[in-house]
Amino acid sequence: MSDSQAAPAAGSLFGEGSLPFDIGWQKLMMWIFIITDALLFAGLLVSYGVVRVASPVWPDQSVAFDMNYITLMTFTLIASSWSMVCAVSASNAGNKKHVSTFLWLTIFGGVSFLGMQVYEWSHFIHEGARLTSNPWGVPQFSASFFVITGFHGMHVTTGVIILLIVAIRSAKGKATAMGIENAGLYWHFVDLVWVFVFALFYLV
Amino acid sequence: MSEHPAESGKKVYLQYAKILAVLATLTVTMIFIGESPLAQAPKVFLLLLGSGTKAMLIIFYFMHLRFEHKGLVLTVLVGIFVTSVLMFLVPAYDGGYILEHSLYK
Repeated sequence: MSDSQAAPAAGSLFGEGSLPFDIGWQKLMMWIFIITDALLFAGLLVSYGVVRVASPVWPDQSVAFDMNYITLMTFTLIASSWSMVCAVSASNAGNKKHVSTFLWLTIFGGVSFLGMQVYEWSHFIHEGARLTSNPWGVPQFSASFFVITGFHGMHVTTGVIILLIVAIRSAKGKATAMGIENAGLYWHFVDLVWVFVFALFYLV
Repeated sequence: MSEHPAESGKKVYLQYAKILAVLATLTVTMIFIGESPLAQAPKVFLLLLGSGTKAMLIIFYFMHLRFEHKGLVLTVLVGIFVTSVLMFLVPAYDGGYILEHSLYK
């Protein structure tokens, strides 16, 4: 290969060694995943919007759900997002003790949220709600509830598993700052989705 | 590589706690809006405004997007929000048809 055909200089737009958006590939992949997953949730919420528009009546959510309880669930998830960002901050500063503390706090928040969701689901089912019918008369009401909150709950469960792996690896000194940051990005995304689920499903 | 705040300790945790307090306040405000006797359209608008504000706080402060490359910021915002808005616009445009041909009448 002649000199003129040598590989592009590092740092050039398409040359080897350049980093798209100035971030590593792991973080870039996580952001791309977040964008695609966000669109999936957006699709679900749009479908829910279509169902709401098409339905002449819709049950009053405050009758079907205990709003104080849903608010507590929301605060739990937001608070776990705070502990997660503190874990990332401690990780960037190399403070391993704080990383561990905040990671376990986040896991506690995630497990608490899941526990509350299990109770909410069991209460809802006990009242007669099913995927295709419910006592409030609009079948799409319970269908939307189970699909949207179920899909979100599945994401929270995955997040808790990821955080458990990261916390164990961190305790063994194997977790990297990038790994903790990526786990944090996913966890905040789960919180981000709940912001819209809470507003559009429980409050509108 | 993009730079992230390297400092740690109570001061940073408290800064993030302030964001948490704003998020909590917005949540309570949205509950009041949700339970208010407002008409559906302004209620939905205010709730989406509140949700959007909360989402921005989470993305820029908790997910540290404000420290990232401008190209990534644009990719995320265009990728998520503009596409989501477009997705909402389609049923909004067809809303009349959906109401006319409602399956549940």
